[in-house]
Amino acid sequence: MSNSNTLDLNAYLDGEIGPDEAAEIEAQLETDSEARKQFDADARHKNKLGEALAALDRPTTNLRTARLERRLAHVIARQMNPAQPFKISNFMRSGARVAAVCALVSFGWIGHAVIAPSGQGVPEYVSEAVGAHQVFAEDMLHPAEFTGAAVTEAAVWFSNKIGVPVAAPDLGARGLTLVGARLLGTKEGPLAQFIYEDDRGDRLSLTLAKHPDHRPIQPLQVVDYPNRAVGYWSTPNLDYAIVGHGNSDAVQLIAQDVAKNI
Amino acid sequence: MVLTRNPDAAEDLVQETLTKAIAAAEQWQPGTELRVWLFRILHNTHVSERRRHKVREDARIMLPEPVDTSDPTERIELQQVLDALSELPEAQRLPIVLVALKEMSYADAARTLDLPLGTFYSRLGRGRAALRKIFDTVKTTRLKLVV
Repeated sequence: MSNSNTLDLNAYLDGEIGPDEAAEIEAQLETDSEARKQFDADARHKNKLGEALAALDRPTTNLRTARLERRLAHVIARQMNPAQPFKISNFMRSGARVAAVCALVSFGWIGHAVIAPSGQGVPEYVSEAVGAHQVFAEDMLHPAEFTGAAVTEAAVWFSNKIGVPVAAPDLGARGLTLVGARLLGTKEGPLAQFIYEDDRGDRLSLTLAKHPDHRPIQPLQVVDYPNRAVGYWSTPNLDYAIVGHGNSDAVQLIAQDVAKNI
Repeated sequence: MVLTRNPDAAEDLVQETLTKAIAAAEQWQPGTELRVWLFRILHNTHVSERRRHKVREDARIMLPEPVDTSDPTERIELQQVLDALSELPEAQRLPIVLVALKEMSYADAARTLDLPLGTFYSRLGRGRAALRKIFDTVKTTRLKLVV
């Protein structure tokens, strides 16, 4: 088999030739057992590698990487249409460009398995809460599953799932409106997430989980994650995490309000 | 869960790439393929880093760890493919990896690696031939061991 035939087989495998040339290659593969063997091996290797790459193509959970992706999305969107106010959702609707960023992450072969907070000794559910906040509270493409009046019904369902009563506190005094709720499945059990929004559209989430019997009661702590602040604490029945943007003082005040009114 | 051979280095590479892309965003031409532009930055960053450190192990971060599949036979085969790939020189390995990415054309892959299309073709062909050879050697060796 000549070198040019080898190249043709590669081009055929990768969909880089036209239908007439493809028909010729297919005819060759019918009669040339060596070519068939080579093609099958290459196709098998490519498929295996493709599966591995596809499995890697998932949203990042590394907070700094996620923040950089957002900033890149922001500047690219501005460049595409500087006259329009930036909306991350507009950028994200542009599938090819989202794929570009996701594929970039894949190309770096990142295993997105770890969220690394700046503080030490933070319970795992707090990291889960931050990840859930990023995906469900901040991303407009994934609206919460329950909105409006349905949130009250959702809280009943959440209570049944979690095993202890949960409800969304009223944060109107802090200028926050409840806009949705979602039940999250995690390895530590179900988490109930309530999402609030202020009049500027900034979002804050309150995540509740059943407090494990073996874990001590946790007083209120506020920790800084990259670009976000988290207040977390526990009662004998429930663990709480409030995740909001940047300002840890604001998050602390809201967390204190919620903790007092439980 | 998918892990990497060197997850910290890979995450650093992606973050450095994104940082450079943000700084150089004005150079991207709307209407052109953003993915290719990003890959080129990533590839150049990787090459620069490797030159800086001169550590052969760094090259290995350009390969994924096997995906945990429920079928052990498939997992073994994937491991063999990745192991064989890791034996190839990077000049041959990257074309193979890039064309395995969904919807990555030869033209895009060649632009990503800053290669003429003809050079890309020949490296891809040589790389796949070398991969088959490594695979055949592995199979032959294992058969001998069994016998």
